[in-house]
Parts: sequence; structure tokens; C-alpha cells
Amino acid sequence: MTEADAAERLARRVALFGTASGRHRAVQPIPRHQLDATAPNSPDELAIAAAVRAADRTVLQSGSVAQVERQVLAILAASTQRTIAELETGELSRDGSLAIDSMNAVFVCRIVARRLGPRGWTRLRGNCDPQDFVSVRSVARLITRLRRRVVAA
Amino acid sequence: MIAFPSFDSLEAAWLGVLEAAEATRDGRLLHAVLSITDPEAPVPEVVAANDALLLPRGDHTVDTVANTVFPANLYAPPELDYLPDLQPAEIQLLDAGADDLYSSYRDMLPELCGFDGNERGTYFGRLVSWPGKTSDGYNQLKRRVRQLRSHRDRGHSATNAADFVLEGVAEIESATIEAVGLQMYKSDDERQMAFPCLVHVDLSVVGNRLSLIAVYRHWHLVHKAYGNLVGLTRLLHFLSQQTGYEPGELMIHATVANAEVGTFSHTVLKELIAQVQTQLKDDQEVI
Repeated sequence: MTEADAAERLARRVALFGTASGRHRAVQPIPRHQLDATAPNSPDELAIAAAVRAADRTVLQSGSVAQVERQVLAILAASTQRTIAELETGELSRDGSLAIDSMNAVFVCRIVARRLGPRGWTRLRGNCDPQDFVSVRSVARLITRLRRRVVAA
Repeated sequence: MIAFPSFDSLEAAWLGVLEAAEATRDGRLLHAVLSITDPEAPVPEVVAANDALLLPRGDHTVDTVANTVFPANLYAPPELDYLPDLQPAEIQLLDAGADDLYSSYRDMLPELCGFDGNERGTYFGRLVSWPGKTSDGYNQLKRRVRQLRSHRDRGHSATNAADFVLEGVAEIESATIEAVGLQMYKSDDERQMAFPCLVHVDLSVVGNRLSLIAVYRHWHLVHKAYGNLVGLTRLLHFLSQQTGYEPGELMIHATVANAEVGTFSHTVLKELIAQVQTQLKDDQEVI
């Protein structure tokens, strides 16, 4: 394969999988193939370990919507190995916060559910609708709605 | 049965089958077979035209439908393709990209199955964690990548040992692993219209090109078809990159292709067809 062929293939792949192929594609909830020495050994853990570590449990439990919104950004940034500032250059939603697609939103909810545990989190089923999964702010609002206060014994 | 001539793009194929179905009184075609010789990225304007009918109804967008077959947002393709003589570090890079995709989706699967309409699982969940209800199922996709790489390593330019099973617990538990494919459909499923509409995905390699055929038992041409084509194209290109075979043909066999006249009316469908035709004509003129 010539260099020109390789370049053309790369461009086609970017169009198919990358930012040109749809909306909100600036945010990918996965690490960029960089193996993390501090992460667990199982491949199934690699993709989510950074995101879990980035999530502040206390803020998720009791923070305001604005504070939780920063947590959502932090989770996405950690999982993509980007800075929050980089993420914030993406497309905005109608509510003025960063637009994300539904798969990214579910990814964030999964991380939050892990951090809060089953006692601190109400399951999504029957408690959400598609409009909860469109932006960083809508996800933050969903989190504040579904989190449960856990009283220490 | 209607077998269309080969199309060169997803949009031309979608337009062709939609036009033919709309032209019938009830908007349905029996056994529609279509192939796309060079499936590539979707055209944003066509996506927007399709979404314009779906969004006001609160229905899933093209992107969301495509994500059910292949969640592109979870895959950041490395800048290389598989080759038998790759260095171990390069293979690790490819594997890490695929593992990120698998693990992210498998981890989310319990949440995804909690949404309305996903009670019986999701297509991609069945591919990476059969039977698709829990995060620790059998990863058909990973296995097929390994098989096809093995063929590639041995210099095979043709093989037909890999299809995907999307439903069918009995089959996958009793068959030898090498004999089954990507399973979507269960043999004792007697429902006439429900998930999964995509019942089978088969992979073939001929002339070093990897081609894919998908069988739909009821193909909704406005709500699902274009998104399905986009998702299947991404699946084909993912497999192509991970195995080193060139991307080949994408073929669809829809046992019933339904233009959804009852939902959208002939008038609305004709407007959609005209929009897509105009867009494709404009694209041709640019080229």
C-alpha cells in the first residue's frame, strides 16, 4: 500500500468513525489505546478505570447540578485522556452545555452507578427519558434525580 | 422477490428500496435483496432528512439506530490495519482499540438493557456478550476477529467460516465454536414482529475482500433502514481493520421491506425521496 493509499484509507475511516460522521462525535468515552500501568490487568477494566477514578463520590452524592456537571465533564475527560477545556470546545446543546450522544451519557451513568453503589443510586429503567441523555447538563440533572442519600450507620 | 442492481453507496441503496416500496399500494416488498459495492460514511444531509421525520415523533435518530449495530462512539480506530507481519506492539495497539470497544459496551450492557425496547437485549450486546443480557457473555465478535486473523496469517484469500449469531441459545451452546457465527435469532422464537428484526449476519472473504450479508425479517425503511446500513458499514470496516482484509460488499436481504405508509403516508414518503434524490444529484455534480 502506498502512502497515498494509506492516507486515503485513514481519511475514509475518520469520516466513518470520527468527527465528520455524525453529531457530538468530539467526545469518545474510551481511552486512546494507552495501556494504563495503574489500572487493573483485566482488559475489561482498562476502558473504565480512569473514568471511575475521576469521579468524586462526595460531589456525586450531594453536589449541586452545576457541581455534578463538572463531574460529568471530568469523567468524560478522564476516559478520553483529554482535558475538560478540550472537551468544552465541542458542540453545544440547546441548554448551553456540551452536547453528548446517548451512548456517552449512558457511559457516564454507568460510572456514577459504580461510584455510588446500588444503595446510592436508583436504576435508570423507568426513571429516565431520551431528553436526559443529550447534554452534560441533562445528565447532571438526571444524576441529581436518581442519586439517593445514604445515611451512615 | 426483488433483487436490485448493485448500488455504489448507502444512500443510493436506501433510496432505491424506499422508492420501490413506496411505489406499491401498501408500501411493502417481499424478499428485497440489495447490495452496496463500496459502503462508506453516511451523507450528513441525508441523515438530517431522515432525522427530520423521526425527531418530531420522539423516535430514535439515524445515529442512535446505527449505534445499536455498531456503537461508533466507543471505537477510536488506531491508525493502522492488521497485517500478519505486524510487530507485537502494533498488534497490541489494535487489540487495545477493540478491547476498549468491547469492555465499554459490556460494562454498559446492564443499563442499556434497562431501557424500554431493550428488555430482550441489544444487537451489539449479542455480538460482544452473548446472549446479551449480562456483561460476561461470550464475545462472538472478538472470536471472529481471531479466526479471520488466523486465516489471514495463513494466506487464505477466501473463507466462509464466520457468521454472527444474534439469537439462539441452543445453537451457541451445542455447536462447536468454530461452526457458529454471529447469532442474533433464536430458532424457537415464534414472534412475528419484535426484536430482533436483524436475524443473521454472515461474513465471507473472497479475493482478500471481506463482505457481509445481513438478513432482516422485517425492515422498517424510514425508522431503521438507513441507520442499520450505517451501523453495518461501521461493523464491516471495524472487522476489516482488525483482520487486514479489504472491506468488500454489504448485502441486505429483507424478508419484508416496509416503507411504513401507514405511519408516514405516500405524500410524506415522496417528499423524503425527492429530498434524498436532490441531495444525491448535488453530490454527483460536486464530484
